[in-house]
Amino acid sequence: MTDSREVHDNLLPALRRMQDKIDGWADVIAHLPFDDAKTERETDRIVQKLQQGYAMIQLAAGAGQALLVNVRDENMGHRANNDTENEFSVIGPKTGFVENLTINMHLLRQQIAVPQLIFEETTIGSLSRTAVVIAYIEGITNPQIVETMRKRLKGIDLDVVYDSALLEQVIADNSNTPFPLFLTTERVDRIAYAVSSGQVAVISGGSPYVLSGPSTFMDFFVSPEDYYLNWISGTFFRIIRMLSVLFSLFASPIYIAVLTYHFEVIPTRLLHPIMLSGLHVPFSPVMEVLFLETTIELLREAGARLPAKIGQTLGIVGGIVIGEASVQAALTSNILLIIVALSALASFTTPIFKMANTIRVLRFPLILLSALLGGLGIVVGFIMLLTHLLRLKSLDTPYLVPFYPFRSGNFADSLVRSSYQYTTNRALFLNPQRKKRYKPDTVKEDIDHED
Amino acid sequence: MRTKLLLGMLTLSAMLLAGCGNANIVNRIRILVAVGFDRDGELCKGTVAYPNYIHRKGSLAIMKGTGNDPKLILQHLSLQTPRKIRYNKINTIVFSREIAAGGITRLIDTVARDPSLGGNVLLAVSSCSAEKVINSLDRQELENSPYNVVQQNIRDGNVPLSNLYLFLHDYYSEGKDPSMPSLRLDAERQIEVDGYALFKKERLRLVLDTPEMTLFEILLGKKVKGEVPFTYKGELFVMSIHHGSTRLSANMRAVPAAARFEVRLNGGIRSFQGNRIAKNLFEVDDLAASIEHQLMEKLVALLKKIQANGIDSVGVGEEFRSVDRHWNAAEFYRNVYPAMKFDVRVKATLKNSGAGE
Amino acid sequence: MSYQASLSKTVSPYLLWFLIHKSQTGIAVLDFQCKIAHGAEQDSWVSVLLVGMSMHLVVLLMFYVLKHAKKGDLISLHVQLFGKWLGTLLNGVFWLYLLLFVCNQLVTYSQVIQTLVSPDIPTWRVGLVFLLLFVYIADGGFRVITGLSFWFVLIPSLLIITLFIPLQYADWRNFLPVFNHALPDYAYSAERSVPLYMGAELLLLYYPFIRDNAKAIKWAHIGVMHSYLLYGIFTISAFAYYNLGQLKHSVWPTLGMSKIIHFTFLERFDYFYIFNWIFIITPPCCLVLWGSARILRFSTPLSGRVSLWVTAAIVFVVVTWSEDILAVGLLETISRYAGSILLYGYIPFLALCVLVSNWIRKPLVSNAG
Repeated sequence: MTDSREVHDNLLPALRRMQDKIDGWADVIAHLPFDDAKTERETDRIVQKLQQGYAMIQLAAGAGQALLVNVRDENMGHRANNDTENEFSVIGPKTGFVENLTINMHLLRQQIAVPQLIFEETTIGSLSRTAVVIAYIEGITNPQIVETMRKRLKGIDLDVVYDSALLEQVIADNSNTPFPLFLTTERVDRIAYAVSSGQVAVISGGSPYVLSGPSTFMDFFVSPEDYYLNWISGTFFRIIRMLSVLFSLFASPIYIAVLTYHFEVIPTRLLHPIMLSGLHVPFSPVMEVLFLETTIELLREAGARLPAKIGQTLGIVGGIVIGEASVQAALTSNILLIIVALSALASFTTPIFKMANTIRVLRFPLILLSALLGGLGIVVGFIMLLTHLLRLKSLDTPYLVPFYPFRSGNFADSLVRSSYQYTTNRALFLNPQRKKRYKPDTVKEDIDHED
Repeated sequence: MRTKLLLGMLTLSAMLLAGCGNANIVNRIRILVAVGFDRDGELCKGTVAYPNYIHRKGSLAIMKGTGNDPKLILQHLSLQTPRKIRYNKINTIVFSREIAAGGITRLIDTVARDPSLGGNVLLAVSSCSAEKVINSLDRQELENSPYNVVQQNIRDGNVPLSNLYLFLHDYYSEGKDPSMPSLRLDAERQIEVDGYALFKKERLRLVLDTPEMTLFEILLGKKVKGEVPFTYKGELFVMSIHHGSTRLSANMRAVPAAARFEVRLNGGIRSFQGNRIAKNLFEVDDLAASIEHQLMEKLVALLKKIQANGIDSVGVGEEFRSVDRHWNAAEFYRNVYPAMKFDVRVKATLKNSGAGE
Repeated sequence: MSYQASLSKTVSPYLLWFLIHKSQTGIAVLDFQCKIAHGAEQDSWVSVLLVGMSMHLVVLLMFYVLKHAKKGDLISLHVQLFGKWLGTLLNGVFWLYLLLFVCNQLVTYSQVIQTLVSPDIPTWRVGLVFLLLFVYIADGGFRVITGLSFWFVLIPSLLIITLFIPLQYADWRNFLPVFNHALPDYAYSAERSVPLYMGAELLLLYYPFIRDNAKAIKWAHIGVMHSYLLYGIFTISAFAYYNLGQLKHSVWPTLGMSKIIHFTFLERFDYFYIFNWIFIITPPCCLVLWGSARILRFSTPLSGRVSLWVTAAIVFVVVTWSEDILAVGLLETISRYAGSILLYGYIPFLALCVLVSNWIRKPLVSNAG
């Protein structure tokens, strides 16, 4: 708990130096090279502080009181590097949040340097007594949102807050949903952006993930890199990401529906490869798909649990050997192998891991529906999904904003990431108190056609 | 509680629905692609081709069945196979001339009412027996199906645009008679288009040969393309039509009523020094005039031939219907059409089209 | 003046556009062309448009009527005008009409599925799947249904672009000669095109859930206009693509048109149209279920959720029973007559009643306002 170097290098020499002339507590405090040194009377408080790593000094003269000096080791047990490990980006800062609340607050302050950035601290957890901080910018964030978040956090009664992900689930508007209702991220720039656009961030002690809300469905498909590239490439990659979501959700269900029910839609020329590759497969397409999808889920799950180096080998072994062997053994068709592998790949393009997981999970009900009812099942599944999304809310804000309720003002930065000329407004559905983010560029000199 | 109820209902419905309709799994069915119909005494004989993936790696195989109705033929075929037969992907239906002359209402009606078929199915008449045409597909690739032969020619403008939809369109039309391509086997047992079959409602009346087919296509005006031969100063030239248009207009007031065809052709002459003559300022008008004149005569002759057979494959009646507020199909074809005069005007524009001098 | 539900339950006025338009489109769009063709033949597009334009008048009347309802909807208005007993009876009749509406949609759609997609799937399975879906949606409340209506206007609209392909086969002479039919022919076609516009009357139920509803009439008119312009496109493309003989012989011309479409990656595009129609029938059916559950809730001691399930169960029974082709036709005819009477008979009558009661009992209305 205590930083022994602090004690040996600073505290003890200072005490030794002032051996002869001690009149009272004030004298001691004046000589100690520590800011956080206070006297304390109550035993409870003393116990609490000792547990946090303070050093206690007692004087023979000043009985009933003790001086508590803060010599705790802030970084003990924490990692030294704070690179983002799971939300990597090639361009842009690579620092991420760590397990230390103070550092996290500091990291956020570095990006938002105005005094209006407010940190409100509360304690949650009957056993862990975890410090949880609500961060927002006064004058931008709508007070109603902050109030809702405060109320939600106050209502929590947990024993140990292991991670902010726990908080996220407890304060979610609807707990019966596979969708994450709050953005959780380890990237500082993401949280800085969220806070600056009028959202509330919640930093929890001991968690490298910071959550922010109210979030919308689109937020989970936005990568900070979109903003670091120029708007044309940024938009392109964002649209690719959205399409890959659709692909990973619907590719295998469509395969099942077409091969089981609607073989007419296969073009005659495509019939040949499909028939030849799947001719000797003894299972129905559903069984085939379920077999392969489960295999991929197993690989992913095993890869995530294993140490990084073994994980890579496993990926190769699983991907190539199992896939190749199952085609050889006529358990699956080549074409399905391609589809399943591609849809797994596509599901990994989602920048927020939780959303990527959701998409992987949602594939299975869709597969079942398409196996039961064919194309009808896929459409019914799609409508169910859409209805579910329409019913969701994050901190009382509709989840599908700006598509529904339709907010034309927010389209500058949703499906398309427009040029910075046009993204001068904050997201309007958050009702920020100041709507303008910045003034657009001064008009640059154009090529003159009139000379 | 509510969600549990809902989940329960969903599982229940899933269980109820499970196990229904696995009939169409693609690698457990036999997919027919082409069918030919022949008369076989009292019955109708159907010959079908399907890609055989098990023994032949996808090259076509043949089956035969007989019955009074397409559905009965299908039943007969089904009795011969270990796999279910599905005919949803048929893209070619061939009738022998014998059947076509006797009327194809029953067959067409079954096809038209069956929603399993798409609109792009090729209907064709065969000069030899349909069985022979389909038999020639044995051990061939799907690529060589009559459908692709005809489609390729439709795209190039050698055969008028024709498919199931257009046939039905004309079949139900009051002022136009249907038509379809005619196929035959040549000496090497290759399928070729040998003409264009004109129907009176459901009965085959007349088969045009290939030069007439091109002219017929020009008259239809949907896609004017193709090669037109003509003579100029004793030499044979061929004009390639790149694009053109045909406007049909009705003249009701004239006695007898007249139909006017205004044909505009844009094309070039590549064969035999044609482009040299076309470049010659003094000769090009003569050249064009001779095309126009010869083409006009041929078109009028074709129209007369169609008229003499008592059919209206070009759709003159349709044009009269659209301008005459009191048009009556029966009366028109009894009194007006047989005596109708055709006024064909051709305007040919030649473009430079050769690289050599 | 006009009543409005609590703010958190209402939707923006512009959504009335999508609600009105989406509640009108339904299963009738698949086959109206061949039905109207028997009347004014190539001129029937006139009837379609005229009936559509008459809907402006109906909307006007509905807004007038609703403005004077105490609770802003038909349920309260009936009780208010005709007293408790007669009012509840009329609500019951309206409830039956709504059931008929949703049964007609479901039964006809399951016919489409059975004929065109899989012949071996029984009606009750289709009905069950759809009713579970509808109940899930309607359970989400009015805002969710509105959201779906919004999305399901946008998504199927993309398919209109593909009409371009069948129109390459169009023969525009099919519309000639114009206007050579007598008035009864137009009337016949008009009567047959009423089912296209049925569903607008649902406004009588969801009116209080529109924010600033008295001023929202502009959006209602836009919605109606959207409907008849869309139907105009469908009518004209079907009449250009088919000739009359073909049209009279076909069953679902709108689907038939899609049969000619094929791409190199997708040979049969008609499946897209068939499944797309789920998007089209879902919002009106959900609105109807939601509305009829509301009627039950106000007229009986049942709670909202229970009445939703009860309604769905009754619909399911009717759908299961009417499996044969005659029952489908009967259902369609009854619902057409009922819709025509409601839109052009009962709503004007209601307006008259409101006018008279305003005139006689002025003080009562001023209290209500």
